[in-house]
Formats: sequence, structure tokens, C-alpha cells
Amino acid sequence: MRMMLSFFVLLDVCCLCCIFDLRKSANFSRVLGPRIVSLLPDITGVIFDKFNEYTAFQTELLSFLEALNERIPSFMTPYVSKSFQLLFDSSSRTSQKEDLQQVKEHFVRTVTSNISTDVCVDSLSTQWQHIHHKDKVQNTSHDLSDD
Amino acid sequence: MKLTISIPHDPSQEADGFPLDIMSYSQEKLRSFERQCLNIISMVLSSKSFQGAVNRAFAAGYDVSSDNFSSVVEKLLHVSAQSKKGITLFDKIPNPVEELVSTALDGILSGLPLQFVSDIVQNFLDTKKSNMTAQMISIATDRFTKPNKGDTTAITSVTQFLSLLNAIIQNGEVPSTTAVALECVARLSQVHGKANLDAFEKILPIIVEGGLKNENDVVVLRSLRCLLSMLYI
Repeated sequence: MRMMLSFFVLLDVCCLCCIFDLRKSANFSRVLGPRIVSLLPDITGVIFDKFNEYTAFQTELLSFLEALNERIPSFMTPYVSKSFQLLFDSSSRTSQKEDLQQVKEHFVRTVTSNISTDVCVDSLSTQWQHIHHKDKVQNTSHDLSDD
Repeated sequence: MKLTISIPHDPSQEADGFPLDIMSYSQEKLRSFERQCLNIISMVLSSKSFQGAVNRAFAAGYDVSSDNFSSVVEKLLHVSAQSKKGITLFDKIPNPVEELVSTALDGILSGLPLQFVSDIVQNFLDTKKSNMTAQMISIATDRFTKPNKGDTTAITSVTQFLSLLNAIIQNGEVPSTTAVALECVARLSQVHGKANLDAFEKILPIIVEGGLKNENDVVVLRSLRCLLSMLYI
């Protein structure tokens, strides 16, 4: 009986420890940046919506998106494909200012150096069919095999 | 400690107790006189003797209340608001009256503990003087970004001030004020972000909902800049 009681006490203590551990891990981050993660769907949604609507703010929007990729890259993986699509769409549609072009180049560099190559290649390959090709293009698999 | 300020602005207004007869002054002369008064006020309030007197009053444990300063702050902001009628917050026209008022307010607030500054802003916002809110929070932010190391009220007062800014952003009635509030949050986060992570985390969803999803272009832009600065804390 005493053994059982001790066992239950021990179990209670373990449960309490687990609860405290869980509570601590909820506030795992000692910096503010990663605490933005829960808001990412909302934030990226607004950025993607407004990128073509607010042409004057494209540089700011892209810089912010770049900062997210730099700061919390693993949480930005689901948005890489959409980000590339945004770049390609805007490149084909508008005549670009030089500073926006520079921001775009910087954005691509940041994404490729922070996000895994697999994700980047996968996201880029999904864009192939969305891009308007002026000239006749070779089959993608040919290109890869030639290399 | 009692501090009162009387600045003549309109010749028709009651000027009892004022040592000059301003009834005969033209508008132009009155404006010039107003600037001179403000110049003296800003010099007195930012002087070492005034700062020393405030510090001594707190050190001696005198019964000092934020109400002692609230009325002066309100009067100065009223003068500033009168001087920029017809000018929007986004215009970059230099305004000497506004600059003098800012110097004077900076002088008052820099001598006070942060808790007092926060209380003064709270009192001010309770009276709903929306046309002066932007300047009030901007000057209070200036003070909050220069905290004294010995000020033990810093964490609680930053939390209180943040909740006031939070309410302004959430309300979003006046886009120019909302934009200034977002800028204030960004500046505060640079200085107090690390020590008040939870308080700043609470304001993040409000910035997204009230700022980033706002219809006003300037508010959206300021929200982006605010989130960007908070991202690197």
C-alpha cells in the first residue's frame, strides 16, 4: 500500500514537472522575432495580396519578406514557392525601378542561402509552367540531363 | 511643487493677471510674443536648475503627483495644436512653435520617472484630445527611449504605455495618429524589447490586425516597418 502511494506521489511529481516544462517551452524563445510565427499566415497573406496592389511599397514588402526568410527560415518554407511566383509575376508585368530590381536580387540570395536547396529547387520548378516563355523552350528534363 | 503656464494666444481671451496689456496687440505681434514666451518656457523647463528641483522633490519624498504636470503638458500641446492648424502630420514644414513646445515638453518629461510619464499620457488620452494625441505619444516615446538606469518603474510603465499605444492602433480612427503610434512601438521595441518580450508579443496581433490590414497606405507602411524592427529583437 505504501509502495503504491509512493508511486502515485512520484507520478504526480512527474506530471507537475511535465506541466512546468510545457509551460516553459510555450515561451521557448528569448527573442521577439520568432514569436511572430503564429501570425505568419496572416502576415504573408497580407504581403502577397498587397504586393501587386501597392506598387509603391513593393520594396518595403519584399524587404520584410526577406527579413522573415532570414530570421525564421524554417517557418518560411511553405511560402517560398508563392514568394518566387510573386517575383516572376511582377517581373513580367511591370517596368521595374532599379532599386526594386536590387531588392529582388538580394531577396533571392537571402532565400537561397537560408532555405534548403531542395525546397528552393522544388519551388522554382513549380514556377516553370507559370512563366510566360517568349521563345520555344527545351524540355526541362533534357536541360538537366545535359548538365 | 506647483507649475503653471499662461500663454496668450488670442487677444479676445481672458488675460486676467497677465502683466501685459495684450488687447491692443495685432495678430502678428501676438504670434511673435507667443514665440518669445515659449522660448523662455522651453529654456526654463530644460534648464539644469528646473531638472535639479524636480529631482530634489522626488528625492526628498515630497507628495508629487502626475497631475501637477498634466495641465502644463496639455497647455503646451494645445499651443502646438493651434499653431499647426491646416498642416497635416505628414507635411514636413518646419514649425518653430512646435519645435519650442517639443523642447519644453522634453524638459518636463526628462526629469520625471517613467511611471509619471505613463500616467500623464494616460490622463491625457482619457480626455480624448485626438488632434494632440500624436504629438503627446511621440514626445513620451522620446522620453521612454532615454530611460534612467536607476528608474525602477521602467518595466511596469513601459507595459502601461504599450497598452495605451495598443488601444490607439486597435481603435485606428485617425490614420495619422495610428501611424505615429506604430512608429512609437517600433522605437520602444529597440530599447525595451528584450526586457519586455511578453508585453511586446501581446501587441504583435494588434499590429497585424489594426495596422497591416488597415486601408490607409501610410498605416500599412508603418506597420511593416514596425514589424521589421521587432523581428530583429
